Amino acid sequence: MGCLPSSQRKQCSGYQDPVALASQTAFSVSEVEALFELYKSISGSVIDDGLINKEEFQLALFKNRKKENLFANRIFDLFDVKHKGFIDFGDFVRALSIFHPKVSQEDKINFSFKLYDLDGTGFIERHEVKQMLIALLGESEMKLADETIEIILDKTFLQADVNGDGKIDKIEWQNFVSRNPSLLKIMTLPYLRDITTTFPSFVFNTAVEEIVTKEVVCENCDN
Amino acid sequence: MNAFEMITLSQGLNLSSLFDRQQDFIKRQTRFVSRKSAKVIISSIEAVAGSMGLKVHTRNFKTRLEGLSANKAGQFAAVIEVYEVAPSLFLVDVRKAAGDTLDYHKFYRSFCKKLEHIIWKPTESNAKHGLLRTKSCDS
Repeated sequence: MGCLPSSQRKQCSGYQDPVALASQTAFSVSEVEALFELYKSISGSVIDDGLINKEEFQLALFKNRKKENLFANRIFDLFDVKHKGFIDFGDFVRALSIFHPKVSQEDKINFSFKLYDLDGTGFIERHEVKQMLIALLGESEMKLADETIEIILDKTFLQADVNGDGKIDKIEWQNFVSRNPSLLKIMTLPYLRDITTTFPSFVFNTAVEEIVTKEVVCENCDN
Repeated sequence: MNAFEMITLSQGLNLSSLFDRQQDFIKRQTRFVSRKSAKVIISSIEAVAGSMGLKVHTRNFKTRLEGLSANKAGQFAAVIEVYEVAPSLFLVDVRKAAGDTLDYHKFYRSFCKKLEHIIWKPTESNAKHGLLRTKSCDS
């Protein structure tokens, strides 16, 4: 099992019809096909089964398949909407669509809310923000005194938690992000606009590769 | 700075890394097809690169472009090779040789825009040549 050459692409177990996916997302058919090139590479990097597992996702993000990261886990879980334990091509395209520059702020705000609502209670609670903050500091191997962390949390909740109930609900989050638009920066990938340039695919892929490995001398050129 | 501003700095939330895989980059080089003569292809490439402020050095259908990165802080280099796939059908392979990948993609996009006159775009009538579907620089 795995991804077979492009002529038999349909048999790749992760593959789904690009026309259908294009109609569900912000991508054109050729963009979905370009994404498939990226998907093939990620999904085949550890186990060639046409699906992206957690290690492959970590490998793609960090160049290190063993690197565990709270935020990467959250992104993975949001891509894997049905909690199958792996991301298929449809999941991949539908989730990445939200990061497209032309997708609405509303969709991006919704996604980011779910991202930070670690336990899925429908609220971003103080202990969750604390956990994320500590995780972030850990990435840079920084440790702040607990007091300092509490001060940062106080400041954050003062701004975001308008009704003062100790947690941030969806509406408070929407308002907070509107006042701090840079928070949504992570929700847009300008690369997605150029995806067909970054990942060009040729139907005659294999044939061309054979030719270019030998340096073909041009007959019509002067030296 | 509030907690969320710090959180957005996380590497785990920087999905642009998905598009920046070294292995990928070697396998999926940026390339286009041209029906012009190799001489025209190379001279066009040299002219465009020169107009983009890059130093050009060509030897045997291999052109090296060099310059400063977008923020002027580092080096940028690309290597372009012209291969004859069939009579009057050339594959132009462009590869990053040095510098930042993002800079490279920006360069490539701009480069292709200026080279539109030599880039072959597939249409119904020329599909018979067996190039069923190719992606040119812009889609």
